[in-house]
Amino acid sequence: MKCQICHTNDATIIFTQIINSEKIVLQICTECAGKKGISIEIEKPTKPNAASFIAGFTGITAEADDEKVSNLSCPVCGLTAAEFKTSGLFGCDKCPEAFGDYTSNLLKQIHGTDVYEGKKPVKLSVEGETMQELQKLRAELKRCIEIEDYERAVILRDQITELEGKNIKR
Amino acid sequence: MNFEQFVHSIPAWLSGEGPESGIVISSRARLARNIRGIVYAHRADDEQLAEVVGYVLDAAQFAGYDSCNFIRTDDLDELHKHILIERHLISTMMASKSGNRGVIFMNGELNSILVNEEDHLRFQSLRSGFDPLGVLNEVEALESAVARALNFSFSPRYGYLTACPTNIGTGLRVSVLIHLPALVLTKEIHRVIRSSSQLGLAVRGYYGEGSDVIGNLFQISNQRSLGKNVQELTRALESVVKRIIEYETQSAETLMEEAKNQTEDKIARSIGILKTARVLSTHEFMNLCSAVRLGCFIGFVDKNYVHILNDLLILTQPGHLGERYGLKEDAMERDYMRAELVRERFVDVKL
Repeated sequence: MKCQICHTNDATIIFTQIINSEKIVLQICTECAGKKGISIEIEKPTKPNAASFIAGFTGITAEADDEKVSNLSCPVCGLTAAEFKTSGLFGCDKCPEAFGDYTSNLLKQIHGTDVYEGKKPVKLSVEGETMQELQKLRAELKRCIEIEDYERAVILRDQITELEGKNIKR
Repeated sequence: MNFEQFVHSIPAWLSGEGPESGIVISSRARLARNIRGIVYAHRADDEQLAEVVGYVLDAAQFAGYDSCNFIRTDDLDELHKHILIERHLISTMMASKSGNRGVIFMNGELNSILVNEEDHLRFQSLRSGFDPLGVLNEVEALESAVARALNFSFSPRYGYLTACPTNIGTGLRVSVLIHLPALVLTKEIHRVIRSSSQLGLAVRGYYGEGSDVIGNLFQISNQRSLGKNVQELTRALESVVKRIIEYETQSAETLMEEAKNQTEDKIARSIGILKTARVLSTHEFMNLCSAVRLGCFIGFVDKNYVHILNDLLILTQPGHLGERYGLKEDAMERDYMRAELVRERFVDVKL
């Protein structure tokens, strides 16, 4: 039996993983096991780092899908699935959606499910909303000054003053 | 920030109080959150990082944390960063990165918010002893207060969105720092580690991810963060750790039945070395302390010595020693000063 990852070396390790009764069995060689961050030493309680951990999982997904997946990218932050595979980190909060089934399969492999259970975020308080708005306006004002768009800056400054007044009244 | 005073104080999570404090040093819970619409910290430029810091500081103030301290890691030298790592206030990953990042801490370091680490916000709560549900409640209260003034990234399907897919969902990591010398001595520890990981828990060394096990101290935490709510995840960890505590207690009894003299000898010798040594490496010190801690647990020595051990657990770390004695990066000198500090604290320790 050849290694199911590199298809070159002889498979010497049977890697079995059971997550919520879903069983994944891979026959792999020592070299690939090392690359995937799978420790063959049972005695040592070490955990591979997050990136190799994720890479280990992504290696398990069907290879035919690999090319299709690698071409995916996030429309907001531009992170590609290939980059994600290397770093193991999403780039922004739109990435999980942008990577579609790939994300949900990955989450199933990590957590045994892709369905959230738990509380929903609380609604912002009125003061909280004003604060958020103020922050946004201040950031925009800073950018306007940098690009010397003083006309817009004046409008923003007035909006900020008005909002700040409201916040103080509260 | 007055580090000179800081390095003489002991964080409250090392007070040696709380349930099962003979075995469990401390409990910790953290919630990972990101601010909606801003790229994650590892892809953000410094302006975006600064924006995040601004949002978080305003929201924390809104939540009533007026007197809180915000420490920007960029303002610190390597020694002071080390001190914060040793006090579990920042991570090694955080210390290695420049830019607008930092930590807000309050309530005597029991609660904190890490800003712009892997996620925009990491809420943390620590307590002495075995109290996973207690730290969960604390960290949830902290998060809820801040959430009234911040929009977090959330998807109805996946829950709270995080940079790393291993944290998605609840963003919860709950853990205990636990001392398991009897399981190590009776060579049962590997079974415990194996079964813990089969039950969805990770077992790591003192400093978490990737760190070695020293002084028989282990960190046990949940691995999954999705599919169950925070209470269920925490209860699952609690019930497994309860079993590990029972198992450790039984193993300590077995040790005392089958190898009483050898066990007591090991503890007594350790105290002898700690009272007299002139040079102590971290590794040796941690292992000797482990024996004394076991002595406290089985009642061979005064249980109150746990306080000395807990104090020293933090005071003898390289950063703390460096600041206290004005040391340079010199391990030899540090080992010498460590031994001196330990002798000082062990002066009244008796068998």
